[in-house]
Amino acid sequence: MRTGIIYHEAYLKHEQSPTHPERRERLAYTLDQLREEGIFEDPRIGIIPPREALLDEILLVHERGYIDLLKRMAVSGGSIDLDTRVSAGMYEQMVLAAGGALTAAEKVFNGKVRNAFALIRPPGHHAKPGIGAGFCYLNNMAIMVKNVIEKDMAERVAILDWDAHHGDGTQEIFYNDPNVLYISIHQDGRTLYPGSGFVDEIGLGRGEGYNICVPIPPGSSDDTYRLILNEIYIPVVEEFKPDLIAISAGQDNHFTDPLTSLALTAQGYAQMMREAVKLSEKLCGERLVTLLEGGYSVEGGLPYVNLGIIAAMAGMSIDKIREPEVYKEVLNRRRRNVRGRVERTLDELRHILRDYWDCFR
Amino acid sequence: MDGEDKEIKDWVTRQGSKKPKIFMGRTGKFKKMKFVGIDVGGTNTDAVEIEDGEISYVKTPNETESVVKSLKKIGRDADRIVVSSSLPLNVLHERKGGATKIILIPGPGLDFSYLGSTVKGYVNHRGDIVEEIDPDELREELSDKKDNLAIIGKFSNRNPSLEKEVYEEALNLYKDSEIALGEDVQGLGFPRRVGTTILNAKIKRSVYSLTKEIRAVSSSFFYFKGDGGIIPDFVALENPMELVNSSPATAALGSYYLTGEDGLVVDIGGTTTDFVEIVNGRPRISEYITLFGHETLVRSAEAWAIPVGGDSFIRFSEDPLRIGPERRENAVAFGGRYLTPTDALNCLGEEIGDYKKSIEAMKEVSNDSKSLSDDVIDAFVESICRESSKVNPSKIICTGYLGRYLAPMIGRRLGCRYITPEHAEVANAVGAAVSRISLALYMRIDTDRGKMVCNGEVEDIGKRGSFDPEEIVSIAREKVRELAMEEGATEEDVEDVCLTYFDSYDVIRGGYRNGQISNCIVQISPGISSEVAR
Repeated sequence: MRTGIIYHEAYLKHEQSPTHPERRERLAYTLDQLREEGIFEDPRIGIIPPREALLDEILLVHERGYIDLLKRMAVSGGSIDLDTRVSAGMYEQMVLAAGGALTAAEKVFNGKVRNAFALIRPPGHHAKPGIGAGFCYLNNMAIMVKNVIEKDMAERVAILDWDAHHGDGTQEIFYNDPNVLYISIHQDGRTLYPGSGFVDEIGLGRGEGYNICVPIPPGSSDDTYRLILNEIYIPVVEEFKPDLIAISAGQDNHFTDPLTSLALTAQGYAQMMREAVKLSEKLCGERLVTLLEGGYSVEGGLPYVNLGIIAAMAGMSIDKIREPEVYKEVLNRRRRNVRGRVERTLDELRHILRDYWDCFR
Repeated sequence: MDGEDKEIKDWVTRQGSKKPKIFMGRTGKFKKMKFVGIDVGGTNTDAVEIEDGEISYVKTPNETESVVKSLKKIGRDADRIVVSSSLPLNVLHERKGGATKIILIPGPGLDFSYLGSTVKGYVNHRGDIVEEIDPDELREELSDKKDNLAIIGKFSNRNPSLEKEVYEEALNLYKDSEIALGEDVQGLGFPRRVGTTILNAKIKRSVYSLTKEIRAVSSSFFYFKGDGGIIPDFVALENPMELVNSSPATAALGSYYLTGEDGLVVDIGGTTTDFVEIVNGRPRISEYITLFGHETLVRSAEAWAIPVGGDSFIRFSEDPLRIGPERRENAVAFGGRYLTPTDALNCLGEEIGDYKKSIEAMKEVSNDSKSLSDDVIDAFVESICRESSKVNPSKIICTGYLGRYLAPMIGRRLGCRYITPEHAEVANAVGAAVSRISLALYMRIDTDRGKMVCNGEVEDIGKRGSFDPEEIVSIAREKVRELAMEEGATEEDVEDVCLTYFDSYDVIRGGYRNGQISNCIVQISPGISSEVAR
């Protein structure tokens, strides 16, 4: 088996309310698509049930006081912020999502699979040590990475966060850490929550240079991502030489996403993943872990995006990965020519980062 | 559509629109019940009648209208007729299904072009048509005419419109009975739906003809499915692959009825030998079987078969000689021209059919006909033992018409107990006859349209909100119990209802939940009817 999909039926249960954007159809529709494509019966792919994260594993990232608060809220109900409510029984779902991320890494490191995609909910990349935010409660990615390093499975991990929103939680957790390279490609913070992630946020102390933010303008599409991968992500990661490639695979940069203004296509996602897989083959024995983050295009592109990501991870053909033609109009309305602006951002980044990376000298 | 097809189609529709009345003769409490099981094998059609525990049967060679002939002899005033037929399976075994043109409507996703010809068009996961068929491209693809046609769209069981469009166009070139649609195959899994539909296309015509033949003498009957369930004949015509592997389940049920023991059933027929394990009186069920290299969505008793049987053609010219895989004619002892394992048994002292003819014919082939016959039977028994030993049986139950001749040899070679029950030669037909009314119900509820469809019958339920999955399943369970009891099932027989398929999704338009479509298959758990309990 090449690719493990970490999935549990409980991941369908998480729902703040039936009309909240982070609702269960996100996964239900994707699963229908995967079943119809015969994905779960392909010998290259296996479904792996997640385990629960242990309290000690969570405490490597989060403060005990915050965890106690979450537990209390999950009994009585409560609210972290306007977008992020906690209802009864939700703590178990969070723990199972974080545990899904851990399971993915464990299966990859013990050689059961070459790479793994954790189809987990709720997402995590806005969650900080002491507080959750933006539909996120526990930072699944940070919990996975911290544990992988703590348990000596890896020394160095490269995270690519391609969610449309800046992963401010993950960034904060690893801001001083030279062993975790965090690269985020996201819609410009001046136009989207959480309003951070500018080019000068490069890390602190020993972590200086190991945090790279690539803000992109609304309307950015496949070509922009391809450019950033070629110009920034691939050269930096090759120089960093990680033991594991991790991806926060938000799907809200898709052109049908109702909350963001980006214009990536399913084919674009599949190609990005194929590049990441190639990099993992070249640098770290094919070890790659993908975690689901945001992505709210419930009625539009999600099934095709997830399918494209899985197909690329499993080494299947991605030639026919695309959205149905009815969406063409939407894409054309949303996509803009942003090449000049993106190139200026990249020039600026290379300039800022030239002292830390040989590839930018 | 030609005249014959239209005729079949018409009565299928006609029969489908009214409740089938299978239960004909139960007029008073004191009437003895009479159950008829028919097993159309590769060589013979067996008809068994069970009345008050007494078994009687007729065997009719599979020539023209063998089912009709047997029914005229035996089934006239039956309370229930259940038919299991290996005819469609043999069509596939002997590669007589013809060449299939495969039209796929896969839309975006994985690359399935290796499975068939792809045309434009797409139904998405919610059953919306999001890409249209291109009529010119379709005509071009269809022009490459073959013997039959399989049309399969992704998510077609959520919206069959595109498949129907291709079907309408294809009627210019194909008869209705030569076309199979993916929508008739329940379950998600496009590659498996493709596999199932291709095989449906190959066997549809033979199942149509068989059904028509039987209908001529019996106004209604049940087909026995591969998983041991039984369904009214007209329901079976939609997805005939469900019938294709019925023989193992009938063999299991029949053997258990005749012996009351678990073990490995070795069913030695004319064309094939089937193997099925009985555990706690029932065969194991495989959710999805693979047949002839096609992965399918067919649920079936776990069984395996080898194309070696009593009537198999023998290749004496090969060294070592080879038995099968095809059957050409009857054994010489039954009027055929080619020597078979049955004839070899006659040369070794058995008296099956016109055994003298077998001996004469064998002498023409070899001076030492006895030793040649030994070689044939040795090869025959060896291939059966090789397959049996896959499960290390502690007991074998030999059935089929050569079962009792070969059981001691097989048992000795495997070193295990062997049983050949009385009536073993018609065990499959017995299995069909003793089956409880393990009726399957295909239910679809569409809350947006306010419709419920049960085995093809449409009911109005009025517009309403969503159901809980549990609620849907319990409606289906009640419904199938009710239907089975209408067909004459006893209360005891309908207690155990199993859910074999469930799928439900919300229809959301513009951010609102408009309705819910649920598909569900439930089935009275297969088993022996309490009415004939040993």
